[in-house]
Amino acid sequence: MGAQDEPQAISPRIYNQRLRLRAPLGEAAEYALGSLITHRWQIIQTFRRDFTGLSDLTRWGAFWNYALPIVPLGVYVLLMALRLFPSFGEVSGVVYITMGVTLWFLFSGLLRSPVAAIERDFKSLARTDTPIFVAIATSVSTLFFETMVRAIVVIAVFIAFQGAPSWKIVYAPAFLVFGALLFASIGVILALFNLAYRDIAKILGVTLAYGIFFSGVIFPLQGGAVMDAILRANPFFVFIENIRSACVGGGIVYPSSLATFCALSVALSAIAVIFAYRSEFRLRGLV
Amino acid sequence: MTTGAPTKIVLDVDRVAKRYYRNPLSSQRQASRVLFEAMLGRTRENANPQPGEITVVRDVSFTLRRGEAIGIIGGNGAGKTTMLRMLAGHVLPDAGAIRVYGTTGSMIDLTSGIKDTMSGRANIFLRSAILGRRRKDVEADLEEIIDYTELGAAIDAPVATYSSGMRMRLAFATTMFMRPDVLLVDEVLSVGDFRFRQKCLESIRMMRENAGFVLVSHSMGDVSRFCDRVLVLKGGAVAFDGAPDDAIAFYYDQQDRAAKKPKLPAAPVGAASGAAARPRYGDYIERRHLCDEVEARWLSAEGEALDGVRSGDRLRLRLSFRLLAPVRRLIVGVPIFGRDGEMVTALSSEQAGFAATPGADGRVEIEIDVPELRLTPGVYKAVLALHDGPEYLYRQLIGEITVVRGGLPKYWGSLVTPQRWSQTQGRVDAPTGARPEGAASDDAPDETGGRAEAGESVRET
Repeated sequence: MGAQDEPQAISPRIYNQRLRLRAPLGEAAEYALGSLITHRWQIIQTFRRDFTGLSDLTRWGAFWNYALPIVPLGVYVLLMALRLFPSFGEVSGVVYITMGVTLWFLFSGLLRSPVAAIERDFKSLARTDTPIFVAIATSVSTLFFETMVRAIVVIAVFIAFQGAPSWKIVYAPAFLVFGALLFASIGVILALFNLAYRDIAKILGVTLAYGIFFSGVIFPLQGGAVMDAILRANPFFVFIENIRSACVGGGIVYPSSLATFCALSVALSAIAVIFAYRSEFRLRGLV
Repeated sequence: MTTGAPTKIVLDVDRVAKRYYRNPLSSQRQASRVLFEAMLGRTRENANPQPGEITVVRDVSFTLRRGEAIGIIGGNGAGKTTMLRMLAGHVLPDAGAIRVYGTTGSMIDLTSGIKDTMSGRANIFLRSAILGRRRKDVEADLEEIIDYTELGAAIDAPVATYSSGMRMRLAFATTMFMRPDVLLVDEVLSVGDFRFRQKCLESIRMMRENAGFVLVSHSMGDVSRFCDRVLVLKGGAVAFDGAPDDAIAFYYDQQDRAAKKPKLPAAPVGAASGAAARPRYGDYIERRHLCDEVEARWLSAEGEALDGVRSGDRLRLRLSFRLLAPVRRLIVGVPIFGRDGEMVTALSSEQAGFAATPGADGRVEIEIDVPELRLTPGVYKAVLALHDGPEYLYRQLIGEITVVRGGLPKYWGSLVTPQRWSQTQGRVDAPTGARPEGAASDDAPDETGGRAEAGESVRET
């Protein structure tokens, strides 16, 4: 090549089989964050589309966007009302169930949404060059909106039935963040493996359908050693119960499990980011 | 054409290969392998294809320089779009490497990044974000982009209401304003009306001064006009790499060979004379119970078989065939097609007022004399069509006519038509050295026969 044929003095992007293969966490996290910032408009626009799409052509319009997320809360509250609002220890039945259902929808949604989004959109992601993290963030944007609507209801119900929260409520956001990280990370990892093993989405659906009854969402769980082992190993129960307990001033439930799951959430979120970053390009064109 | 000499490399493709999988199970197995590779940080590079895998691109290498345009042509399944997707970074090569020096803008799929339920305006932002543009940059260009699309008030309507041409305008305008270093275009320019297409082509021409351009197209006209160099892909590999005209001729030759249609008993002109049954030149009909023993032979003025003919020279076509049933009104036509499959002209017995009459055995022999061939240099395809009134008896390719530069003046288009120029008002000057577009160039023999009459200046060709 002559002098004028020399490549430009800029670093090229290189597409080959080694691309991102041994990328460290820093690189993956920078890419994930960068792609979310770069594509924030796309995430917002897609959320807006889904938001308006829900109420398009309806007479009551956006009312449905706010009403539908709280319908499940209403159903469980109704069930509780039929039992004349019993209290579960120090917690009002209505508070117990609205808080439990809201957290359950958030955590299980963080698990389901990446799996569903990647399964549904992976082919189009490859065509549009949309980063996988953007697709995942887009898929959970509606979940976050619904959670916020439900949270308002929970706060109102809490004040009405439980009164002022304990000072220990300051722990709740930390538990919430660790829980969300854990379930979102597991969701991302499962979403990627689901492209190779399509049974994962089915198993997840079945597990969650039954799992709600073993997670202290609708009613408290008590039992022998077996139930204790199940609850101790169930991150849904551990996070939901501890957030609820923090709000009403109770003690920490299963502290060793909570600590383990918190540590696991940090480790798994790092693994999920690296794993998604490394495998994103390699999976394109395959599935 | 390119205005400056190609300079720096913007794209370097080095022995790239890509494999796909025959069925979903194979691809899931591969996905499983890929996931574990990603976990372990190891890869199976350059491994041989496994069962269930097909290689769609193999060992492709080329470089693209700023200001250069490369065309990629080939039959269906040749690997063109996969190659473009790899260049765009949508999929990774299984072997080899692609180095991109700068930004890439791709127009591979018009529907990609376009949300039907959103307005055209919102989609400009959305698609720009996907292409990696910042919102404030898009806002700065927004009015220009909207003007470019020529969508008017429709820019605020949902894209679901757009025609494919309108979508193309939106997608093209958004990509063009990205001003990429490498522009990758897959066939999409074939969508849209003629005027907007010309506008797109003009924009690409302007962009090419500062960008490299890769065009995948089945339109040989676009490839020939736009590209400095053309790769012909066959079975995923580069079968030819060279000048556009040579590549196109090679591609057609390959197509003819691939069709494997037996040659007609005639001896047509040209190197690649197989009569391939391609719909590009219309439907082919062969009704052997009505007409057989068809022969067609292009001849020079001296009656010799020829491989090529000079533009402006005399050309003869000798035809013979046997009619096996009585015909009431025999019409013989020889439509002549350009590279794109567009009919350029035709020789017609009906137009010439010539009525052929079969002999007692049904045999007909005709010679058509073209005293001055006014086709411009290029490779043309000729079809022989025999009709009985409106009914086709026979319609088949009779081969190529290779026209080389000859006595006609410099040309534009496919035909040089006789013309007479006159100035009926204003100052009358003798023609000077300054030639308007369309006039003969200095290196072409001057065929003009200017003559000045009182009050008018006349130029004829």
